[in-house]
Amino acid sequence: MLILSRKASESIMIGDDIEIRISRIDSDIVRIGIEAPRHLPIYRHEIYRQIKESNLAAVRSADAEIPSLSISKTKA
Amino acid sequence: MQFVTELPSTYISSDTFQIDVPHGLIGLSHLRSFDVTPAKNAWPFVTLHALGEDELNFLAMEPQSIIPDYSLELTDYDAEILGLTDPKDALIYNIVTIHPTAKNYVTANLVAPLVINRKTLVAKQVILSNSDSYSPKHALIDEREIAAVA
Repeated sequence: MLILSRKASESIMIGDDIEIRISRIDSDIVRIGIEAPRHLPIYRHEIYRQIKESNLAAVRSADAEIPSLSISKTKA
Repeated sequence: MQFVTELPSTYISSDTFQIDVPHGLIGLSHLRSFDVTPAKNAWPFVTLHALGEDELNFLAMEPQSIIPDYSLELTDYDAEILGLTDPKDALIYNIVTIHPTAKNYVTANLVAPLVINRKTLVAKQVILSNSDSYSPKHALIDEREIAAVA
């Protein structure tokens, strides 16, 4: 992994289109601004991993049974 | 953008309709087009059938009336990608997992719903900006389990 040092308000370019700016640094929290083409989705890594696992677990066969929900009981 | 739960019925028809998901599903970014079919006699479920080389199938549900006080906050970025300016234009579906390891354990992902612009049928699986309020494994009660316990 490439490691670069940056100060607040400085940025990094990835290729011609992606800019990652260190917006603010407050003790152990860094705020990052990202300019990227719209076709590139941007996620926090830990949430990305969690949702990816959830999506993979949700894959089912086309003819799998559909569960029946009791709406009133679910709401209670 | 704040989305309210009192949305109109999300079914735009009882027939299959096709949505385009330019970013794909999260972690499955090659799945960019789906047939959405409301499940017969099984409201609130819909089936999602990925079109293309990898024809994967998913079950999803509309959260209205099922998840009390489900309030979605989209980031401005996602609203812009979806072309959504009015929450009424949005269809919301939560992807459902039927866990094979635990009998009748069915969960819905409330953190990352599939949001569809009903006018353009462009969709995105978004991560809510208020994702901390919800679980990616929200347990749904299955009638069969209730029957089994009774």
